[in-house]
Amino acid sequence: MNAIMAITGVFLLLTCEGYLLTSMILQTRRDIVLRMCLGFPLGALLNALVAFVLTLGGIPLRFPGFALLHAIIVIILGVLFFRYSERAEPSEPKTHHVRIPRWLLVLCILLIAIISTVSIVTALTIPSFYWDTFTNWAMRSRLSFEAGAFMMKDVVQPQYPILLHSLEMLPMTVLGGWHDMVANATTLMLSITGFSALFLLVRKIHGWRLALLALTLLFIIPLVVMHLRQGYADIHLATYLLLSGSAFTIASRLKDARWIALSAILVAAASWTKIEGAYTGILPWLCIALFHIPVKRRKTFFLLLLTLTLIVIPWPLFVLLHGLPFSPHASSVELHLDALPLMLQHLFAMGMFGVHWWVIVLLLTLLCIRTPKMLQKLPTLSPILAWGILSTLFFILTYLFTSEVRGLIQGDNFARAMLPPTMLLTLGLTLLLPACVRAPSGTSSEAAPM
Amino acid sequence: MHLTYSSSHLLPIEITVPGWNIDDNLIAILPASKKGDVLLDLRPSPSWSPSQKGIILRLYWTGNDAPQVMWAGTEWHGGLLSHTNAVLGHTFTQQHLNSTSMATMEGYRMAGISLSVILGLLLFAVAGIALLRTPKRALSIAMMSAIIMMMLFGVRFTADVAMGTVSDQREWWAQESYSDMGYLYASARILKEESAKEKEMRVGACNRLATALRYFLSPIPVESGAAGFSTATHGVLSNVWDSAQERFSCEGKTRSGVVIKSFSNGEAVVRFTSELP
Repeated sequence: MNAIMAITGVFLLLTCEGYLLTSMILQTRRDIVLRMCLGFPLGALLNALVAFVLTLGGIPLRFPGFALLHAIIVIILGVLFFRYSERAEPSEPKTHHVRIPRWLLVLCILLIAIISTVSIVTALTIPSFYWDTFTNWAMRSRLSFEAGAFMMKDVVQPQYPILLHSLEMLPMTVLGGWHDMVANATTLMLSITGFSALFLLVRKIHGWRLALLALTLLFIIPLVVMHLRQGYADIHLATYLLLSGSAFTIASRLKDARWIALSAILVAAASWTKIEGAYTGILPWLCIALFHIPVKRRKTFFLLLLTLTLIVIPWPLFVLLHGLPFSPHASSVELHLDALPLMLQHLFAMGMFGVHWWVIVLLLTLLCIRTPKMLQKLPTLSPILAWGILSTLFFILTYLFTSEVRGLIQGDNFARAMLPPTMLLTLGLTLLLPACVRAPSGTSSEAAPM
Repeated sequence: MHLTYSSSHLLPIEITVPGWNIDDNLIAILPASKKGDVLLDLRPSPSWSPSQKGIILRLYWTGNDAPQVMWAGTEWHGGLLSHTNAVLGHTFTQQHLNSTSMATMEGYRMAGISLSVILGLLLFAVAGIALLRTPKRALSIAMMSAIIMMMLFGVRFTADVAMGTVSDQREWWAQESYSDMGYLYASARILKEESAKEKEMRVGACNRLATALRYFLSPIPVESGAAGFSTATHGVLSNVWDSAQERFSCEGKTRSGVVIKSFSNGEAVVRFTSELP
């Protein structure tokens, strides 16, 4: 009973904080459900920052410290909410509905229902099961909770950012002891709220039918199902990137800086989730933002860059000040082209991605053939797809040209690393569906709505 | 496979072929017979293909009375329809999910070929035909075909995950064990109960589960291997088949103790009685 109360309390607190933050960024009181769904993922970022400030101040990571800082945050955000949340008239993107056969929609609902049930049942009734939970994620959270401070030695990969660890630790500070299933419940809530928010963001632009199809095509990636059952980092990193990409898409439709700001905060959260969030999140995000923001408004870009840097940089600095390398993957530049067949086997023949990579390659090839002009404008037409391509290239080059190839040969991290790019590409291509269906003439105009 | 053998006991055999996936090996238990003659169907294995060459048999027995294989070879039985049915049946073989499935999964195979590859090639063929015959609609046809292919795979995998979850759940509720983690959780629970009695408890885990035990038992120290075994007050050991056993070994070290709880897979929680060195 205590565990349920603790987890409910944490959920309400973080959702409330994130809700206020989203309202402030978007300066709106519309879209209540969307802001509530975004609340928990953004609240998790605020909680990581709270834990970081406590750590910097040498204050133990216990209930009083967390409670005090969260109370301050709620008060500040509450004041700002009443002051800024209705400052500007919100603009709404025009929704482009797409016709999808009813049988397909029914199948989508059925698949989402089954996968969600399986995920909830596994997360809440069965103890931690996946190997990296024991070696790394929940283990470091537990040890840090027991020590009252983040473990920067005697744990695997102490460099990893602390969003998930601090999220798992928060309800434990209320309970006063470690509860494995509560830890799994927190990551489950992050998945549920994150994907719900993603559905609502996609629905804003393309209507509920395409949003439902997109969510289903993401959920049926076999590796996603595995990570939804008892998630750690990879699925949450992917969720933050997808949310950020979707917010960016809305921003590009509306030419609205508020949505870009939201996108920036979400990609910052990705970099607090896993180090890979910096490589596959921040860097591609900056590249795409450069395309979007006109030269005469570069001041806006540098303002965003500064804000992003201020949120993202503290943790890497903290790690470096502890004498640790930024990344636990101490990679050296080496040529491993001989690993290419194994890489292709992972993507196209094994069971982690089903047929998704066949689809990605086929559709990208057809897009190149049929609508070459669209590809030239990809970063502005489909930021998510451009993002997916950039992060895919990053990982392919990393595994073929550095000692990181070890993770591919041993099969322990290549597929997980490719999870966010696969999901970005899947979502990006699904969102192109209306353009393909609407104007099958193969001219460049068919891409215009994107 | 046609097999002629002799065995004085029930004879468990494992059949594999060079290149087969380990999860696809077949297991048969043959009756005791002086001159047994059996015909075993290899086609249920998703790795089976008509072009396979060579066969590896592993026989399992205890005692000195070793079984003998007089003759083993493969033969063709049944027609094309029967083989096609067998190959189509491969897609119904359940995906093996375990604690490393969050990083790697073998996937489905038909006649030794990846189902992803089969569906992917089919998709490319459909798109290629569309590109040649109706170039203007090729992209939308490819997209719809792609959605159908992804859905087909998704339905198949979701069914497996759902059925796997139900069976894992049953196992968990019935005997506190779970998939390839075995009795890890039951061992951790028992050791936690023991820690209330033991002031300075130290656990030596002489099996693969030390890392996972460390997480569940923290802050109780858990060490693996011979070093941990030598200084532990309690042990989690494998291959303990007799609950009355009093001497236990780990990597060449031996200690005496009593079995607190033994499990059906040979794992056991032990309280050491011998003095610490």
